Amino acid sequence: MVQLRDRVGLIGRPNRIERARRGDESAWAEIYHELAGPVTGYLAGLGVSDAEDLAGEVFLQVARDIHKFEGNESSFRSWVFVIAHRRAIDWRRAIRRRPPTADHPLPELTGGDVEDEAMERVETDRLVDLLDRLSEDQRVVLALRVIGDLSLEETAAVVGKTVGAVKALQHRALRTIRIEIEQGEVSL
Amino acid sequence: MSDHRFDLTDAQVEAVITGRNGDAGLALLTRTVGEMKTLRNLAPSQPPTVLIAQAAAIAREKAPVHEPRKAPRPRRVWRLAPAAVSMALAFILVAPLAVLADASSPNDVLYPVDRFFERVGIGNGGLAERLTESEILGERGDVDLATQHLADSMRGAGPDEIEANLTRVSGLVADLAASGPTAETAEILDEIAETLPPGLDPENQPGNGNPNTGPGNNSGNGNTNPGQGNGQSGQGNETPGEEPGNQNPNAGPGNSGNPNPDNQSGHGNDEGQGKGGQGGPPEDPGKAGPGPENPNQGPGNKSGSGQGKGNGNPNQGPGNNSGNGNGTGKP
Repeated sequence: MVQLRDRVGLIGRPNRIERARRGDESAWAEIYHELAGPVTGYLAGLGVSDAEDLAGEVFLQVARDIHKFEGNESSFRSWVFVIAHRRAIDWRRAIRRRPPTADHPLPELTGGDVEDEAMERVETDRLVDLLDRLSEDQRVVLALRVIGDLSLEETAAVVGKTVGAVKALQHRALRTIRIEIEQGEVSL
Repeated sequence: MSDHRFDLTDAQVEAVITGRNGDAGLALLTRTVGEMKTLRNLAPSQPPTVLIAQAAAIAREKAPVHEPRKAPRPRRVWRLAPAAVSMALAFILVAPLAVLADASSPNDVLYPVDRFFERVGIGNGGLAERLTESEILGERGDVDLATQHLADSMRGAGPDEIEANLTRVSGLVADLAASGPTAETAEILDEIAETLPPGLDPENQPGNGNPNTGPGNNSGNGNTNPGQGNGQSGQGNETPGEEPGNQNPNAGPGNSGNPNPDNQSGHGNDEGQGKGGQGGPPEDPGKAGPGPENPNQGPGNKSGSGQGKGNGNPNQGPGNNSGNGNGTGKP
């Protein structure tokens, strides 16, 4: 899958990274279109309350550091998630220093009618709540694999662990979720 | 205790994550995990143009700028500056030394320096400078060293150089010879003199101040052996330059006639410088033969024909005039 995505990236958007380095807005629009959703979802899955804003900061950080990046389209994606992961860690540290709030708001949903938005909000809350039951590492690995659509190797590179460690983490994460949903502890 | 009912194989995990699971027992888990992917939709459906423009601007600002190659700084000039300063200092230090050394002569301390500079091409005056040095040595009274220096210089000089300085060499030889050289030095001077063309034989040079080798005397004699009988004629010249020879009634043997057969080809005679006494036939030395009676016949008068006329009569005729040559000699 990764190889197919890599080929598509290379064929469909040749020199996208190079164009982005030169400040080509269309290249940055393509990057945003491809990565903004996964990054925002990943941050939301980690419990970041203002995931959309933080994703915007990640996007600008990518723009600041893209001239340092060396690699292809595939490694570019995992490189972006490295930045997002570090931002999430920073956010967590910052949130721990702040006094706890009653509730951490999720990103506002855009478009659609109010009912649909409410339904989406409920669904999002449920998923985040489910992920919240995992350990920190399990949550990160599962979010990267599922929401970020990263391979085992890419995930291992982002979190700085071995592939075996990532496998073990995702095993435990899925088992935990399975127990939660099959024992009815999480309302579906 | 762990419940192994909820354990998953690697393949099941991958199937759940990728959403391709066909296991009914994992359907709920697969659906729940699949729903997690909907979190990707939290991003705005419409890309925020401001954010994209901002990212592009940042990238442009951070992008390495390929600046045109700057014009090379005048680094090379500064790189050469130390060498130029060194050369200037060397010139400042060496130039006065070279000038001082150039004026030195063989006995001076700086003379080796002078020769060193000449070897490297600085201030090489050639034979002319060597002659000057010999002249200085001669003036200082170091005749032997001056002669030796002259001989060395002549040996080291080329034919053209010698040719250009013949007059000076001749004069210097004559001066040194007149300065009372030792026998060995005189021999060296003779050797040098022999290398000179006949016309520049220092012994025939006028004004050398030597009464014995006075040109007037010599030329009058036509005698290549200076001092032979010349002294008498020279001594007779009470007033050099004024009526020379005329007042010399005592025409010595050499003057009145040269018994030396060499005299037939004597330089003085050949050049018409012969004078009194030449009129006499070689067979009649010591006799002031009347020139008119035997004009142009003496071998010694080979080319001094007209001059011989006056020899018999010191007070008359061109022979007396030719006696002016005596006047150039110092008494």
